[in-house]
Order: sequence, then structure tokens, then C-alpha cells
Amino acid sequence: MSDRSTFWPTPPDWTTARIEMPGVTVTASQGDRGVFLLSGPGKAISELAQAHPGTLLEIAPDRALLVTKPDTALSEGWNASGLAISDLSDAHVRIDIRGPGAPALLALGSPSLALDPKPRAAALAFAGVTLLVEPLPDGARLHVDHPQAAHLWHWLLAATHTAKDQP
Amino acid sequence: MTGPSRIAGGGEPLPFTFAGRRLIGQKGDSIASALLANGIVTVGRSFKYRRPRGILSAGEDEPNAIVDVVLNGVRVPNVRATTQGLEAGMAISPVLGRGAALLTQALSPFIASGFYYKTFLWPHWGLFEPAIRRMAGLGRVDPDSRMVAEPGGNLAADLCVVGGGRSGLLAATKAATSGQRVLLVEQRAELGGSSLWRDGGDSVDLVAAARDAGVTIWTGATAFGAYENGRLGIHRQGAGLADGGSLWAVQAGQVVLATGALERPLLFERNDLPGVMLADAALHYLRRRGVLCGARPVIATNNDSVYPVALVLAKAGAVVTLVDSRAASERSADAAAKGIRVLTGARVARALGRGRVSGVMLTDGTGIDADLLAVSGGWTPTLHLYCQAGGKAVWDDERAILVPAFPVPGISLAGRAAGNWFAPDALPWVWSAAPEIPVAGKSRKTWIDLQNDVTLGDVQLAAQENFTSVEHLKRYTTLGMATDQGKTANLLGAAAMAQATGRSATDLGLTTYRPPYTPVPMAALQGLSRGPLQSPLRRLAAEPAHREMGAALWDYGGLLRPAFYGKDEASIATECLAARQGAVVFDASSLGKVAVMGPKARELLDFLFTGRMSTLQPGRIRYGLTLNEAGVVTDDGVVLCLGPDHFLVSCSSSHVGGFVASAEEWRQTRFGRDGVFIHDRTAHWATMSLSGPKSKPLLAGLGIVETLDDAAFPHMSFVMGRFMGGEARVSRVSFTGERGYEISVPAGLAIPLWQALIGAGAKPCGIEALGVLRAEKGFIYVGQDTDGETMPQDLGFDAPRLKRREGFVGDRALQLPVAGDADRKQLVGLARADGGVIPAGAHLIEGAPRRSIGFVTSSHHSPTLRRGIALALVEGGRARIGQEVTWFDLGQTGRATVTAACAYDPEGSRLNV
Amino acid sequence: MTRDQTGPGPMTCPFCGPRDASEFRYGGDPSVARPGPGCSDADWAAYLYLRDSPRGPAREYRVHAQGCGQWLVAERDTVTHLVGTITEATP
Repeated sequence: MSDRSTFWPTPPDWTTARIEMPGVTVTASQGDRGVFLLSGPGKAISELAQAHPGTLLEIAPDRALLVTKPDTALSEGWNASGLAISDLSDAHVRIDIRGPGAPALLALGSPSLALDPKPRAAALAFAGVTLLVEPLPDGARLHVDHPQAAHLWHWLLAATHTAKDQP
Repeated sequence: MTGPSRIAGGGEPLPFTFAGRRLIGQKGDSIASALLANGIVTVGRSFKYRRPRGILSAGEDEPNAIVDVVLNGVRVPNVRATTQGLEAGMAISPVLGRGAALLTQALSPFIASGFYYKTFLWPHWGLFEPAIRRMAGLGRVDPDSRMVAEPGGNLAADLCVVGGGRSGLLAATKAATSGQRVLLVEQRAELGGSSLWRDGGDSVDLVAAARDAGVTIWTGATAFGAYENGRLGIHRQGAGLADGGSLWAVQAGQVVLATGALERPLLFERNDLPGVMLADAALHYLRRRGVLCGARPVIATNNDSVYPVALVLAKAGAVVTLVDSRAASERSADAAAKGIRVLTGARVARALGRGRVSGVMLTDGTGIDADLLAVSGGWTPTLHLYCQAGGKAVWDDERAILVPAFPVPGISLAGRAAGNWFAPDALPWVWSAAPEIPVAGKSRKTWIDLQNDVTLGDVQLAAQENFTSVEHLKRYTTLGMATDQGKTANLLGAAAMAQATGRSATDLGLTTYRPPYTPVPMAALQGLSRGPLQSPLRRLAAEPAHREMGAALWDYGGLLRPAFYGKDEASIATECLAARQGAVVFDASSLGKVAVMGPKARELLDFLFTGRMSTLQPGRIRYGLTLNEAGVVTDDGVVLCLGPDHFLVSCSSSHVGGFVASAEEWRQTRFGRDGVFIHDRTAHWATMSLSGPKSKPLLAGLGIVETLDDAAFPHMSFVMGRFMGGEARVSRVSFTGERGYEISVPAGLAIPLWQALIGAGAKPCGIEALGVLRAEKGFIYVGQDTDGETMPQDLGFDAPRLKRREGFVGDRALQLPVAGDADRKQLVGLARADGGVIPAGAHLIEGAPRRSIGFVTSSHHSPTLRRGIALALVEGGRARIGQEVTWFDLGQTGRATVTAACAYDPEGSRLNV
Repeated sequence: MTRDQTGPGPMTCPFCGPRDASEFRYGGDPSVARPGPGCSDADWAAYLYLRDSPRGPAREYRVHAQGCGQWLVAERDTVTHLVGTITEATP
């Protein structure tokens, strides 16, 4: 067996990672939010979301991701209100794709986004990875599990640069 | 001689070479029109018989003019000369093959259809195969030449119109005007379709109207495939030869196929001679490229579509003879009146000439001098995408064309594809006619599939040998299987088979149409899936720290993990010894952490695992196996109880997705969505696994947990602690067999935790060493030490079957007769007397004739035991412990003793050292 | 929740709406019931290995694996591949 360290490109530093190409800007962030996966009755999910301002991404009729302030304390597990809660604050990298070229790039990653750029349910397949899409006024924010974030980033690099620039 | 020449035109001159000859073409030329303009008639040799071949058509249906092209150092093989644009500096080579053409011709009776089943068999085919393969074949691939393609994209549209001719433009404009989002794709560089060279109204106004209505128009774009769920695959051509273009997928609500029709050739002896061309192509080359393909053409036909061609060629100065197989008509009289020599009721018997057409022999014996034989045997609507989408094309006797047998939802046809060709003048217009299969003449010299060298004689041979269905005909003769996909051959082949077997063409049918319609460059299909992007690889949060420590990284089931730390595999033994003598740390972050929560959580876990998880108390950990309903082991892992309704399942790294999917299946189809919830928390946590006899004092020094006292913190339990101001969870589990602690922290602290443990003296340990350590203990890797039949009892877990437990996935399967077979393969260990290593995958054999009784699943040299150790699945393995067996691997045999699977510390005393 | 669709097109998940078909995975035959305890060997073998193969309209499980993760029941014609009603699966 041989060492494949050089075959696989190193993951970027998420604090400084940036792709700037004509029409499209891609940036990233990690670890600066309180992120919780909520399962249970829709009413209980809405009530909890209202108590913690931020963004609620709907995934399934009984499942949503709450993205709120960092250092929010919610106890994990199943509680009396019928909600099951998991702390996923360190699970995701958030990648923002913005600009007039964003719709075409997003459609390249997912035929579902070509059908509907503002999906009502957040989970879909993008560049071969299942992730959550949060529409933005000028593009979208992708919430991706950090183990797959490097692949996504390298895919975005390849997709935004012409073939002649690539090895 | 004469032949083709350029009589009009004037564009920027483009120098190029053909077979080493320096030539000049013009901007706008295809390679084919440039060759014709330079008087070149023979452009290559055929695939099997190496016969000289010329340009037959002007489009994607071309079977003969396949060339290799080198431009700017990039070699592209198998280029279709009729559709590839000429670029300055192209070095074009005909495809000639190796070996003497004469030799192949002499061999031709022995290499008829299906010859590899009948000839060259003695003493064996392998003797002849290399030589025969060398003589055949198309272009050469240059491994250093790389075609580059851009990523394309995905589009949604209300209507996609395929074909930018008059009918396509009209359909697109109409839909766009009514508010629909319309995409129109045209494979040529120009819009207008056949109106560009056939009279009947030009398209300039139609193009403008389409653009004004807001139609998105792509030229140089081929819709090559219709796929399920209403998707079309489209290839957009690149800027030049080495540009692979881009691949697009279009989700269209409706599709209109305005794809036109392709002309059929006629069948006669030596119809493959260079200088034989489709009549429509001759018109195309003259009108579009100013190339007159012959000064003395004979135009042979069975339909009216050639008459406008004859008039145009005559006007350009050619001396035209028109040979019409039908009786005299108004149209033939009209042509004669206009000065064309017309012979009615006449057919071509054979083409004459050495290496190229110099004359034509009719069936009545008349000979005609000619430098071009332009033929038309009727037309075939291009229905490929309709057929790919589930339709069926049938032969319409009355109109002598293919028509759809039934409608396919979402697809409609327009223009010639729908069988509509409006008469160009006031005379009656019969533009297609049924194929005539000649009965006289040499059938072995009458070609049907020019690219694969399949003759009328081959079709008749297939009929004789009872390969009479179109699907058998195709596969036995290879008719229609070349790069042109039989566009000029399929219908003629079916007609010939129909006649040979006394059936109608309608009854015979056609073969299945499959994408792509025309070849798509592999680079375009590959798109972004190149190199490291081929599949989404998962990374560890601490990867930067591993790289800094000099880890060799390897892809383990889609996870990039450290294999070992150091410059070569010698490090693996060092890491093993450190684990058994001191303390090592390995990054176990990829192990699953799946939360199962809710009032029915215990019930679901009892159902998913063979062991009873419902009795697990908070703070405790239990090992279990998951099975499928056939009783086969699918994974092993541990379950942590975090609370009465709150559990964490730690399954194998590569099986997290599978476990979550299975748990959700049972939750949603059996237990109910309200009672239990499954969350994959794997990415939130980083886990470092500390292992070895010195692990306890090392961990104590870090102050993560209050106490490590074994009484309060026994093996298979966990406690909560603190690390850098946040929560940490420490579990006592072991995959190495040594005392071990798995420390889990939020992934943001992965690197600090790793560095803290290294700083405290733990040695880094990779997956390779871990594989040896666990093998010494007889701990399995599911999928490596188990196969598609392995049940719990085969691994020594007898309770689920013997105690007849119920209420879990696979329970009933463990009571099937096969589950109790004495011969079942059981997991055991193996040891060689000389201490050597048995090759992994070696089979264990016995009997005469010998048969396999099992195989080696894991095999390593153990630095700790200083000998080779192995695990194996062996029939009745446990009863054989102590006995010798023979192993076999790639011709090598040896002996080994069957042992218990655990080779090191079977009592497990090292866990509490 | 139910969504109807006729003609070829993207799969319509009752919750997520129209999505590319590649996001869905086939999940088996919803008419096959898991035999209860005490069933015969033959019953269990049939549960494991015997399936109807209807030509024409059929019902099948589809999982929206790269989406909401919901188990769904879809009507699909096995000859034309046209998908009809798609509903949420229930126990």
C-alpha cells in the first residue's frame, strides 16, 4: 500500500477560505452558532424555535434544524414536551454561495435546485453529498457535515474555475 | 477521372494535411467537405475487410469517413469527418489498420459473420486472436492526449425542442409566445436544418421570431439521450477538436422531436465503392460548401426526393443521368423536359471501377460512365429519442417510413420526423419507398452495414443459421453495432432478414434504441468527477494534526484515515508494540454516534440488536450484533445508555449510513414516527481512543475525569468529564484488547485533545496497526471476517440461536435448518508451524479432487507474538481446533494448525492492567 | 400527505415537492408483511425471497434518502415507468 496524502488535497482553513470568481463569491464559517436537531410534533418545534431566535430549517414533517446563538444550552435527549434534541453545533460547516452566478452553480450541484431554487424542505443532494440548503436573497447557504465539507469545497473550486486552470 | 472539386466559395483558407499530403480547405468546411474539395474520394479502409471507402453522407449517419486527427499535439481518434469542423493545422490520418488488405480479402470467406464460433478454433483461438485483432480495428488512442471538458449543468424547462430546422423553430416559437420556458437544441452550428440546402423556404425569419419570443437556443448541442422521469441528456460541443464540450441534463415538461429524417442507401453489388454517396449529401456539399462531388453523376433512386438534386447539380454544370427504378411519371417527364437524361424502370446492378467509381452497370446490362454514384433508397424519420423514452417504431408500408406505434406521454414529433415532407412543387411527391433486396448479384459484395463490414450475404447466413430475430441478427452479424449505430443500415438489415425469412418488415420490428444518439466524449461524461472528486471522501477534523505528524493517509471505505505514522510500513510494528507496552492514541472520530431517543427507544434497540439492550442502565455500555432478516451479521457495535429514553449507538465507521437507514425503516414502517427518534450525531463529536497498559496514568494526568478508579469506572461503562471548558465523555471500551479509554469532545476541540494526549506521552497509532492488534484478539471486521452467510453462532455468539430469542431482525432465520448445519463456516484462528504469514484470501482445501472448506479472512505478522496470525472461516471450524489443514494460494500450498480465534490474552486480563 | 403526478417528470415527495429522481431509493414491496412469531420455515423463506413481479400498475416503497428521509409508497407502472400517487408510508 502507498501513502495517498498528496493525492487528496488538504482541507482549507475554514476561517479564511474564499472563492472569488466573476459573478460568484463563496465563503465559509464553522463553530460560531448553536445548532440543534429537533424531532417531534411540529407545534413543539415551532415553540422552541420562537424561544431561540435564529433560523429554522425544515427537513421533514417532524424534523428541523435550529441555528441560533452560540453557547445556547439545550439539554439533549427526549423530553416531556415530546421533543428529541441533539446538539450538532460542531457538526457542520456552513458554505455561502452568493452572486448573480449563484443560481447556475447551485443548479450544477443539484438537479433539484434547477427545478426549484428555493426548496421548501432543506435536505437535498448536492455534488453527491446530502446537506441542508438555506436560500439567501442572492444565493444559498449550504449546511454540510464537516467530514464532507472538504469534498464540497474542492468541488466548488473545480466548478468555478475553467478546465484549463485545473491539474 | 474527374471526381469532386470546389466550384464556388471563398472563405479564409485553412491549411491541413491528410495522410501526410498538404492541402487547403476553407473556413466553414467540415473535414469531409475539405477532402472532397481537394478531389479526395478514398478516405480510409473498412474495419474487417480493409476495403477502400469514401464519404457516404454529410452528417451524423456517416459510416466510412472516420479519421484520426492530431492538432496542437492532441490526438483524437475516431473523428467523424462529416460533422467535425476543419481547423488550420489539423494532421488527419485515414484509419487503415495494419496488415495487408489483400490478405484480409483472401481470408474473407473465413471471417464472415460469427466466424469466431466456427473458424480459427484449432488448436485454439488464442493463437489467431492477436493477429486478427491487429488487422481489424479503428483509430489509435494516445494515452498522453487529454480531452478537456467543462462542467455543464442542470436545467428545467417547460418545453425542449430537439432540432433547429423549420418545424423545430415553429414549435419553439409557438410555445414561447404562449409563455412557456423553451429550450431549443440543434446539433449543427447553424439553425435551419435541411432548409439550408433544400428548397422550400428559408429560415432566417423563423430564427428571428424564435429569438424574439424568448426561446433559449443552443447550437452545436446534441440531445443524445432520453432518460427516465422525462430527463434529456444534452452534449454541447466545445470550441475545437480537443475541447470535450459540456454535459447538460434537462428536465423538460414536454419534448418536441423535430429531428428530421435520414436518407437510406440502395443495395447493389459493390455499393461500398468510394464515389458512392447519398443523393442528399451531394446536394448538401454543393449548396453549403460549393463542392460538386462529380462532373458526370449517375443518380439512382426509388423515390422523388432526388429530382430537385438532379436539377441543382445540372445547373452547376454536371452531366446528370437519373436512374429511377419506378415507371415513368409526371415528374420524370418534367425532369427530362428540363434536360436531364432520365432512365425509368431501371436499377443499378453494380458499381464499376478500380478503387473508386468509374461507371455503373444497370440490371439490363447497360453501362454508364460516371465519376459519382448518388443514391437514394428512401428516408427514415429519426425516432431515436422517442424509442429511448419507451416508444416503438414500426414500418408503415404505405408511406415507406418508420412511424411511432403508440404515443409516449410528454413526447411529440414534428416535421419530417413526423413523416411530413411538404411537396416542393405542384407535382405529386413520393419521397420514400420500400427497400428492394436484390436477388441477383453477389450478396457477399453487397454491403448493408458499411462500418462493421456486414453484407447482405451475412444477413442471409444468419437467416440460414436460424438467427432470425432482429436482436439475434444484430448480435450475430454485428450489424448496427458500430459507432454510427447503423443509422444507414438497420432498416435495410431488417428488410433483408424479413425477405430471407418470408416475413413482413412490420412483423420483424427493430432492435432496442439506446443512448447516446451520437458518441459523447468521455471527458464530458466525466465532468467534475476527476481524480479526488470522483466520490465524496470523508475527512477527520484532526487531519491537519495527522498530516503534521507525518501520517500516511489512506482511503478506508470512503474515510481518509492515518494508515501509519512514519516513512514506511515498518512503523506499523512499532505502533503495535507501543500499544501493548505503553500507550497509543488513534483517531476514532469516524465511529458512528447515533442517538436513539423516545419512549419506544428501548423497544427499537431490542429489535435491531441480537442482545437485549432494553436492560442497559445509564452509564453502561453493551456490545451487540445487528443482523438482516436472513440472519446474516451486518454490523457490530456498542450501545451507550445516556438516560431512560436516550441511547447512543456506536456502529462501525463505514456502516453509519446503513445503520441509520435501517433504523429509520423500522421506525417509519413498524414502530411509528411518534415513539422513537433517530439522530446521527457522528459529525458533532471527535473521539480519540487511548489504549495500552499505561493509558490510565496518562489519562489521569490530563484531569478530564474526576476519578479513573476501576470500581467506579469499570470496563464497558462511561463517565462525563470536562475538557477545555466543555463537556467530554469518556468510555471504557477496547478494540485492541488492552485497557482503553475513548474520549469524545465536540469536534471543534479535536486537535487540542489529540495534542494533549500526544503531549502527555501517547504514541500515534494508525489503522494498519489497529488491524493487527484486533486480529490478535480475534475481534472481527464485519464484511472482512464475515461474508454474506455468516450468522452470530458462526462467530461464537450462540445465545441468539440456542436460546431461541425472539423479537429482533433476523430472529426466525436463526431457526431455519441451514442455521443449524454442522458444516457451517465458523470463525477460527490459524497458525503456521514455522511462524510464517499465510496469504490473506488463501483457501483451505481437502479431499480428492480437492475442494475449498474455507478461506483466510485476515492475516498479519504479529510483532507481539513474534509469529504470523490469521483468522479464517472454515467448515465446522471449531470442531477442527487442534487439527492441521492445508492452505492454497495462487499455486502455493502449505500447512497450518486450526486454533481459537483469539491468539492473545484469551482471559481478557489486559483490560484491567 | 399525498401528491399526484401524471406523465414523466421529477418525483414529487409529499413533503419536499418535486425533486430529482436520484434522491430516492427503492425500498421494497409494501404488500409484504413480516410473519409473526411461530411462522413456518416456508413462510419465512417466502418473506425473504419470494416477490410478485407485476406487469403494469404496482405499488412500491420509495425512501427520499437524499432529502427528508421519509418512507413513501409510490404507485408506478412497471411497463411505462410512469409514477402516479406518492403517499407517506405508515406502519
